[in-house]
Amino acid sequence: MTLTDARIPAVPVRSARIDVAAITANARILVSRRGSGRVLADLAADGYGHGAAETAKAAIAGGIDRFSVSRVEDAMALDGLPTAEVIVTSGSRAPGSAVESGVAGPELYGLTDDPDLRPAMRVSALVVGVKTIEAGDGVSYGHTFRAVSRTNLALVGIGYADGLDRSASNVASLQVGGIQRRVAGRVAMNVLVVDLGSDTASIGDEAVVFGDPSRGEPGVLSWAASLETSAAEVATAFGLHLPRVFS
Amino acid sequence: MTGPGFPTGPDLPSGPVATVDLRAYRRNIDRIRTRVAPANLMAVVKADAYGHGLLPIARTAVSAGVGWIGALDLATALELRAGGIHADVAIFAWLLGPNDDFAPPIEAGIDLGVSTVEQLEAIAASGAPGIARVHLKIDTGLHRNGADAADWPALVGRALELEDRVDLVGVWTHISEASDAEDTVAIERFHEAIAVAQRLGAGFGVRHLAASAASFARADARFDVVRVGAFGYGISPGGGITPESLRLEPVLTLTAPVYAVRDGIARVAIGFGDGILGSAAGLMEVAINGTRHPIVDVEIDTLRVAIGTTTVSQGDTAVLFGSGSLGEPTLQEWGDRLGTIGEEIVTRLSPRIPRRHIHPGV
Repeated sequence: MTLTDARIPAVPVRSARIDVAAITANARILVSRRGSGRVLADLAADGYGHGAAETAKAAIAGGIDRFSVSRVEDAMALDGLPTAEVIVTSGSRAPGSAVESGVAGPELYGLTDDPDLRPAMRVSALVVGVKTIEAGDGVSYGHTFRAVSRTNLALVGIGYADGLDRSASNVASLQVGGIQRRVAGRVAMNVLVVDLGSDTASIGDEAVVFGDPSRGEPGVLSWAASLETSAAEVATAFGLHLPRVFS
Repeated sequence: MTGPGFPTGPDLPSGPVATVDLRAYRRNIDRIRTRVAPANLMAVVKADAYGHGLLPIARTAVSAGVGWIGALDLATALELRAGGIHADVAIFAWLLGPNDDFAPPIEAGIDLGVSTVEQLEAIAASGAPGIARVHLKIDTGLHRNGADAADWPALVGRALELEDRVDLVGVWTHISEASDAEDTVAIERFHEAIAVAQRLGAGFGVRHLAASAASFARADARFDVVRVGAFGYGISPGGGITPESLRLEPVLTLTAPVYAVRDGIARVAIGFGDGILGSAAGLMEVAINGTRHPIVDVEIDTLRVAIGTTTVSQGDTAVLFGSGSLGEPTLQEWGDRLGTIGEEIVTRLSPRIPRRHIHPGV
């Protein structure tokens, strides 16, 4: 690290980066398809974990002025914003409005397989340790992974308390150094290990859980498919727990 | 009907509530301390105290006489100090990031878990006026972090050279719990690493290896301090071991209101956007008015629950998990049926769910 880097804010060990421009672009496409005033942006669960207030601003910039929230207290995220309508879809004090047509939920955040819509969330974490193990050595709790030959490991600072499903253990992969690396052993609460084989990594390297497929990164849809869950649930779980960085 | 202490009636919130019984946590802490004595207890409060609320849990542990708090990272450790956990309680942080600034934690007297010479150098170069309290970690077979046996003498040696910057407080490791035999090997390796360090001139006042399960099961794993998170919250490891079999009790009860009832389906105001695993659909049940009903769908903000011909009304309270006294499943049942562990179920709960802490100050 050089001296000039000292002014750059410390990189968090794990984070969800939210590309608000992607939400704006998605909003524009949805409005152009359905017509102005006919798209209702779903801000449930803090905007599917993307940040309800930031999502609302980005959606407004893309031409959306109608919003839905799950619960009355969530409507506060829209305070002071130029909205035409805010609907509360659940909650015991809510009127229980049946809103079906025009709702833009996962598609607003790029969480569907629609090729025109861009994913807005990118989840990554830093390598916080590296290690070489020998054939027969086990990794993490219960030693559910055992090395078949000498191999290199990277310890990554993200775990199930950050919203990364524990079912990813020995199943899913993170991208380190441009290559998908399988999770080795059980995902722990705050860390996981990936198997690098004969390759190496350094402390501080980035491990990408998912990001922008157009840049060669794994997509949220493939991450969700590897865990047999939905992209909406994946993004929401991460967004609620990780520090969010907006760009 | 719900029991006293849970949100109901005119105070019914529009979304979920996690009710945390600090008296139950305190009883668990007391039982754990008795079980592990003469070893001391480190109460682990990482991940917002396993979703139970960081500061109320840490304060309860300290008021119970616990002298060690396990924080995970520097931000959490500093939050605990700022929240009034004062300097005669040791706060341990061990997930150190490559860009961490060590000056504030050293000044706050945080105990640092160190695996590499590079971390020692960064600590020594922090510019903080005080001496850093350091615990060196040896890898005894878990293969996550900790120095390999081959690197261990260099790590100990460098810590000794930095004696004007580094106070060698402790030595520690982390075991796999893959089998008793492998844990025995890990314990032997831990003893060997301590002996190696002693031959180099290092003395450690505090040796720690065991987490929840080993702290209960093995006297030879306890050393000076045991690091216990799960058992404090009444979370058992599964595989037939229940909280009751350990004489521990669940601490957190998760409830949410029924906001609509139609065609044999009750809509409950909690969903995957609150941290409920989508895989619960078809596998789990909730209790409403003392009767269990199956979850048929998990939406972002709603559970759809099949109630058949049972009378359920808007405004009734659904209990997702708790002690079982209201007919609800326990966290153990959630973990077992969803193929995971209770820790994942509670740490996944959204930070936006209000935590109601009951029975404080006991």
